[in-house]
Amino acid sequence: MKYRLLLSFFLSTLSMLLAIAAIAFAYHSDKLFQPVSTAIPISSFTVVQGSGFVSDGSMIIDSKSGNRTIISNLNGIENADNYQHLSFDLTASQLFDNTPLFFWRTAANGQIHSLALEENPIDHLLLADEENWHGKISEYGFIFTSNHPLSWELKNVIFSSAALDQIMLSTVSGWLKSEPWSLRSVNFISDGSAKPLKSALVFITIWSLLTLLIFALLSLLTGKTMMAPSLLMLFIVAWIALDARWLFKLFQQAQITQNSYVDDVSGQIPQSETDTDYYRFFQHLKNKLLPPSPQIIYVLDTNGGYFRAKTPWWLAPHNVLNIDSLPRPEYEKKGGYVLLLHPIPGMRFDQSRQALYWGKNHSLAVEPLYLSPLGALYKIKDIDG
Amino acid sequence: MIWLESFHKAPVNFFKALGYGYFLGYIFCAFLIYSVFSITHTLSTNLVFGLLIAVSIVGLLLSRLQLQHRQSTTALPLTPLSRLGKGALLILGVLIAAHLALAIHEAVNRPLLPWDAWTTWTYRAKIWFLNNELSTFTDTQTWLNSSAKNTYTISAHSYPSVVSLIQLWPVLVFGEWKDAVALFPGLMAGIALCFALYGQVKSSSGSVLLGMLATYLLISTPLLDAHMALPGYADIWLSGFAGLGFISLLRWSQTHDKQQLALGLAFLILGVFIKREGSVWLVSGLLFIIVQHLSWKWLISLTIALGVAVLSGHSLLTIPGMGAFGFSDGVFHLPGIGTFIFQPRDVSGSVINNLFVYDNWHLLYVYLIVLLFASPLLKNHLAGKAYISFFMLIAAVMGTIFYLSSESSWAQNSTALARLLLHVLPAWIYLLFLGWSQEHKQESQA
Repeated sequence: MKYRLLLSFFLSTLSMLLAIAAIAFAYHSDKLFQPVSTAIPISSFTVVQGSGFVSDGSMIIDSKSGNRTIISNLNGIENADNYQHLSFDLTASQLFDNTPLFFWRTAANGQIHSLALEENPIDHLLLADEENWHGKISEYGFIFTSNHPLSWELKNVIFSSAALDQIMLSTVSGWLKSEPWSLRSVNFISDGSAKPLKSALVFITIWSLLTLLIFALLSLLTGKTMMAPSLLMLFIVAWIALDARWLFKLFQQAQITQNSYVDDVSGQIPQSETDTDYYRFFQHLKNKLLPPSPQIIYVLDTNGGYFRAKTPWWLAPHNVLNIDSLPRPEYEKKGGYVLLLHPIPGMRFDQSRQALYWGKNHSLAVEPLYLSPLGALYKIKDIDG
Repeated sequence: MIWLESFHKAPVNFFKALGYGYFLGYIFCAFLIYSVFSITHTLSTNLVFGLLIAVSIVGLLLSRLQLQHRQSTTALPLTPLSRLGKGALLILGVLIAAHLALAIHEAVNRPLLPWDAWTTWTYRAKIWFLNNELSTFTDTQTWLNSSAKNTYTISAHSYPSVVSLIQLWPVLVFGEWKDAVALFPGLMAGIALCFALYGQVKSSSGSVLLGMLATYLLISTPLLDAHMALPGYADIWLSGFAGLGFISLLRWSQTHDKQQLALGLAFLILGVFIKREGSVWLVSGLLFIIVQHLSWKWLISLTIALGVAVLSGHSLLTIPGMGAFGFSDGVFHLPGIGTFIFQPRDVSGSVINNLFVYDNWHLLYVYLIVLLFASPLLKNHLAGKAYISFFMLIAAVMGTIFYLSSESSWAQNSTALARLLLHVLPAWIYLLFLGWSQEHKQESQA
C-alpha cells in the first residue's frame, strides 16, 4: 500500500513539474532555456539621499529612525524587455512591517515607477508582470524608509531574462511572501499571489487531487482497495505542506511583533506605527486639554476612514460622535467639543466672531482650544454665554 | 459540564467538559455581571466572584454525588497506537504547540486590531471599565436628543453585549485597562475549541490519534489562527456556541444520545446572545434535527412544497419569541437579524476565492467536497445522511444570504463570507471524522 502511495506522490509531482515547464515554454519559449543575465556592480549605485557606503562588494544602508535613504544607478538598462527578472541579496538588521521599494525611471517619459520588495528569503522581483518595465530605463535603484533605526546590506544584484527557473522562483517567492497582520486579516487570508492560478492552495489542491487520481488508478490496475489510512495520509501530507508555509509566515509575523512592540524600549511607538502621531495627538487632547470626566465630542471629517473610526477608541471614555462632516443643530443644545480631523470644504473658523461658519450662514459659536496638523479642537460655547 | 457528563454511561469526557464548559462558564459570567449591575448598579467583582465560586462548588458536589451513585461505565476502547502512530502523535503535538505558541505571542503583544474590535466589541468593554458602570449605547438620534452623560452612541449599538461583557471581566479583575487582558478570553476561546473538538472526536472514534489530528486541523486553519492572534472579534465566540453546538447535533445524529441533543440545542440557543447570526444557526440547527427524523422521500416532498410556498408567496412563519422567518414580497425575514431584500447576484467568483484560492481554510473545503461526493457510497447511511443534510443546510444559508439578498456585497468584498463560515468551522472538521472513523472501524471488522 505504502509503495502505491509513494509512487502516486512521485508521479503527480513529476506531472505537475512537466505541466509547469510546458506552460512556461508556451509563454516564454524564446528565452526560457537561454537565459541572459548581467550582474550589476554594487559600486555603480550612488547614495542620492540619506546615508550608505560600499564595503566588500556590499552596499550598507544605515537608516536612522524616520529618515529615508535612496540609492540609484544612473547607468540604467538599455532594453528592459531582455531583463525581466531581478535577483539580489538584501538583509535587514531586523524584521519590521515595512519593506524597501525598487524604483525605476522610464527614459521615454521620465516617469518614476516603484514596486515594494517582498519580505521573503528569496529576494527577487519578476518585472515581467510590470506594465511600465519596457524599453529603455534611464535610472533604477532602491528606497529605504523606516520608523525604526535599521541597517540593510545589499549585494549580488543581477538582472536576467525570465527563464524557467526564475518563473518558478517567482511563484515560490510569492508563496513565501511575508504578510503582516492587517485590517483585513480577520476577514480573509490572501494567498500572496497576484494571480489565482499561481496560488499555493490551487497548486497543492491540484497536486493532491492528481495524487488521489493516480492512486485510484494504480489501485484499480493492481486490484487492491484504497484503504482509508492511505487516503488519510495523502490528505494530511498535502495539508501539512500548506501548513508549513503558513507556520513560516506566522513566524515572520511573530518576529515583526517582537521587534515592533516587545523589544522597542524607546517608548516612542507605543501602538501601531501608522497610529503613532495620532496616538500622541489624542493623548495630548485627553491629558492636557479635556477635563478628566467624560465629555461630549463631535468628530467632523470628510474622510470616512481609519482615524475617524478609531477616534472614539483613543479618546475613551469621552463620549464621541464620529459620523458627521458638518455640525448638526443639536450640537449647540447638547454642548461639548468639536474636533476637526481634516479641513472641511466650505467650513471656516472666524477668529473675530469666534464661531465656525459653513454653508449658507450656518454657524456655531466655539472657542478654539488647540490647532495642529492632525486636527483642531474647539469648545462649543454655552447658549447663554 | 462535569455534572452533565456524569449522567452519561461513558466515563466523564474531561476534554469535552473543559472545552464546552469554558464557553458556558464565560457566558454565565457575563450574565452575572449584567445581573449584578442591574440590581446593585455597581460593577462588583467580589459579588460576581462569589457567585461563580458558589455555582462551581455546587456543580462539583453534584458531580461527585452523581459519579458516586452511577453504575459502571462503558467506554469505547481506545485504539492502541503503533510506533508510527506514536510518532505521528508527537509530530501533531509539536505542530499544535507551534500554532498555539505563535497565536499567544501575537495576542499578548500586539495592540488591538481591527475595526469591529475598536468600534464595538472591545470599545464597549473599555467604556464600561473606564466609567465603572455599564453605560448604555444607543442610536445617533436618541443620543443627540439625550442629556444623559452616560449614554453613548455607536453604529452597532444593537449588537448583543455578551462578548463585550466577557472582555470586561478580566480587566475588572486586573484593575487596569490593557488590550491584551481584555482580549485574553478570546485567545483562550480558541484553545477551548481545541479541547472540545478533541474530546468529541476521541470519544466517538476511540482514537487519541484522530482526536489530535482533528485538533491539529482546527488550530492550523489560517482564519482561526488570525482570530486567535487578533482576538477582538466576536466570531470566535460564535465558533464556540454554533460550532460546538453543531458538533453535538452531528454526534446525536449518529448515536441518538439525548445529552448531545440537549447540549447542541442549548449551545445554539446561547449563540443567539453572542452575535445576531446566532439566530440563523439556531434555525439551521432546528432544521437539521427535523431532517434527521425524515426519510429521503419526505425530505424531497418538503423541499418541493417549500419551493411552491416561496413561489406562491406563502412562506412566512412567525416563530414565537424570535420573530418572522421566511420570504414574502421580495423580502427575506431572518429572526434576530432582520430583513434582507431579494436581490440575486452572482458572487461565485468571491465564493471560489474565499474557499479555494485564499488560504483561509487550507484544503478543508476540497476535502469536504470530496467527502460530499463520496458520502452516498458510505456503508454508514446515518453518517452519509448527516453529511449531506448538514452540507446542504449550510450551503442554503450561505446561498440565501450571499446569492439572493442585498447582503451580497459582504461576499464581493470578502468582508463577511469567511467569518460566517468560521462559526461552523469546528463542525466542518468534526464532519471529516464523523463517517470516516466509523467507516474505518467497519472496514477493519469486515
